[in-house]
Amino acid sequence: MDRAEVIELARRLAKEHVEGAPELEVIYVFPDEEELRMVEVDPLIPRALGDRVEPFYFRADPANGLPLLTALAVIRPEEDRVLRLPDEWGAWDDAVQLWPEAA
Amino acid sequence: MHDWRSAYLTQARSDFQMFRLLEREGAPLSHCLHYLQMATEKLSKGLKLKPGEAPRETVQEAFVSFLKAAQGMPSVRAVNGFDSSRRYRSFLMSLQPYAQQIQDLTPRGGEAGLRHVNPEYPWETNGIVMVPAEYPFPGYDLNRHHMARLLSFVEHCFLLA
Repeated sequence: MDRAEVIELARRLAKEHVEGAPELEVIYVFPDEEELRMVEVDPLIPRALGDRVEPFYFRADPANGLPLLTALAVIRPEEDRVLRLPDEWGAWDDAVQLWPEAA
Repeated sequence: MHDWRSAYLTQARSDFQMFRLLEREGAPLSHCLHYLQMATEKLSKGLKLKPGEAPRETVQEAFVSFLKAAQGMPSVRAVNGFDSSRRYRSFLMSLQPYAQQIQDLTPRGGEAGLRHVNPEYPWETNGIVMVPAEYPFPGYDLNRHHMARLLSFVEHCFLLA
């Protein structure tokens, strides 16, 4: 998938997540053509015990609309842009914010 | 041949089978809970490994976070047999306190470990040394409806491997 398709896929997933979990404050995607990399900011999650974002990995699941390996991390608001990212994800400035949507 | 992720998830499934065996045989609750805690810890750690990736140093307490991440994953919803996102989310929300209970059983080292209720090592409460195998673990009734739900959820998550 190209970058635009990955962002669109992530946007669709983010929309579903926010509908189901309105407490989510921010959702990011770190665009990559082979892996869906998302971070969700949730005030109802326990604080991270380490200093890095540690996503859960879910295999590609085309039958359920996810054609890419998906890495999903959930962090607290005070950890947003503070925790270290996985090495291959780049920097926080590389993130595309999906939620709240830009005005 | 296993990669690390598959190895963690396979061992987690085996831990869970041991939990079920001990439960059926009427073993002390501490031993059942010990295997259940280990199964959920390895399940969560395994799912934090990218396929083909070697493990790095991670924190032990990931089960509650896993439930939260699982809310957003259609694959986890599907293996647990939910068509409705709303029902699935409600189901997972109902499990959170019980997942926290299981996660809280993780043994701790150092001074904190001497006072921490856990299924593996003795601890001290108000000057009394407690033995896990003799402790009733109030609040950890495996026959409660929500705990049964949690166990079913864990069992289905092994299908994600």
